[in-house]
Amino acid sequence: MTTTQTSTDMICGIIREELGLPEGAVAPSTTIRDLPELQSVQYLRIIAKIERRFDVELEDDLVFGIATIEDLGRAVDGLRAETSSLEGPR
Amino acid sequence: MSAISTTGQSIGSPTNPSPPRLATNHHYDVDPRIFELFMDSTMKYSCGLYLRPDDTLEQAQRQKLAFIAEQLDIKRGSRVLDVGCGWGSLLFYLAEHHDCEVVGLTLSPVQVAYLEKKAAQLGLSHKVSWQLVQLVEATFPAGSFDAIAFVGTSVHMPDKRRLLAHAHKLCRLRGRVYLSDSMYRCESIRERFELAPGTAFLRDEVFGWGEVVTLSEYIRCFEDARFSLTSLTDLTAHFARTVDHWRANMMKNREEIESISPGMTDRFFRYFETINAAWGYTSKQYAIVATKQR
Repeated sequence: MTTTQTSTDMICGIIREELGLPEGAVAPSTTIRDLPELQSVQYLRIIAKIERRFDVELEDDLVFGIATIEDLGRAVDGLRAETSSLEGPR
Repeated sequence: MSAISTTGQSIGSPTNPSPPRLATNHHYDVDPRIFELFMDSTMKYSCGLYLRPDDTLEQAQRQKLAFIAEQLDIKRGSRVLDVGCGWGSLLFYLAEHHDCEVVGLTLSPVQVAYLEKKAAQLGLSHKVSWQLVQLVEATFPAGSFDAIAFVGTSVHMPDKRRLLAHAHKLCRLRGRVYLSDSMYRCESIRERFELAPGTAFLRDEVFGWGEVVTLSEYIRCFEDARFSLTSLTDLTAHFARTVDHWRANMMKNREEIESISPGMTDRFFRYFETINAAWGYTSKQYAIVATKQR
């Protein structure tokens, strides 16, 4: 990423925005599914937003497992690294 | 390094080929001159696509190559992997017509020698390349290809589930996979005919190794690999016509083929007769297209 914001920070932002939570309400170590009153529809909307924002497709194990925000950030970085290594003259 | 299928059968490695792997080559390592004497100039050894009643074999094969390119959503410069590239019909077509960078996989050293010569003749050596390796042992980075094709070749590859999982990994997001092959008409037919003499003749004597499954099994493997299914085409009647054309060409060139390899024509005739009797009764030819997307 060229910005100083990490993927994990951006995912925190996406979650706060989707759930209408204040700054500091979620942290990298937060397990998304443990967030109070999170409904499964909201959860899938969060995942879809992350995938669209980073143009990746996350593994089912991660999507349907128990992941922290940091886990998702790491997965996103890994997938983006794979893609960028292939970019070049076509 | 040895790859193990779900059935526990070793399928060998490039440096230490196992018996099934060598067996698969026993058909494809046959002198290419024989194939040239019954196929058309594309050297495409799979089902054509007949659009008019009087289409020639060559027209049908060129139409089929265009169909594959369309189904794969090929764009100018797309990066394509052809799994089981044979004598290069799809490699050369995509490089020539769509300026693609194409990598072919084959296990046949005879085909590699043929490909090298043909690429040089066509002036396409900079666009096409090949590796003597099976897909599950190929070491391309994840997301390397815009499109992946299996044109009548997955039948020779064990463990379709693992095969398509690997294809999913090598495919970029929103990239496509095209797979056409012979399949059992349904599961009960498979149970009844898997051990039949005609099946054994084709699998063991003609091709050396193969594993035919049903369409539903392929679809399950695509789903389990997390692909979305994009299209399904029934090509059964097209394959019967293709085989009729091959058979007629072989009749015409019988003497020349026999002079290269005595006894070869009768063997091929029996093979053509067996598969053309089976279409629609025990076997089908389907093309499946899947996309790596949600």
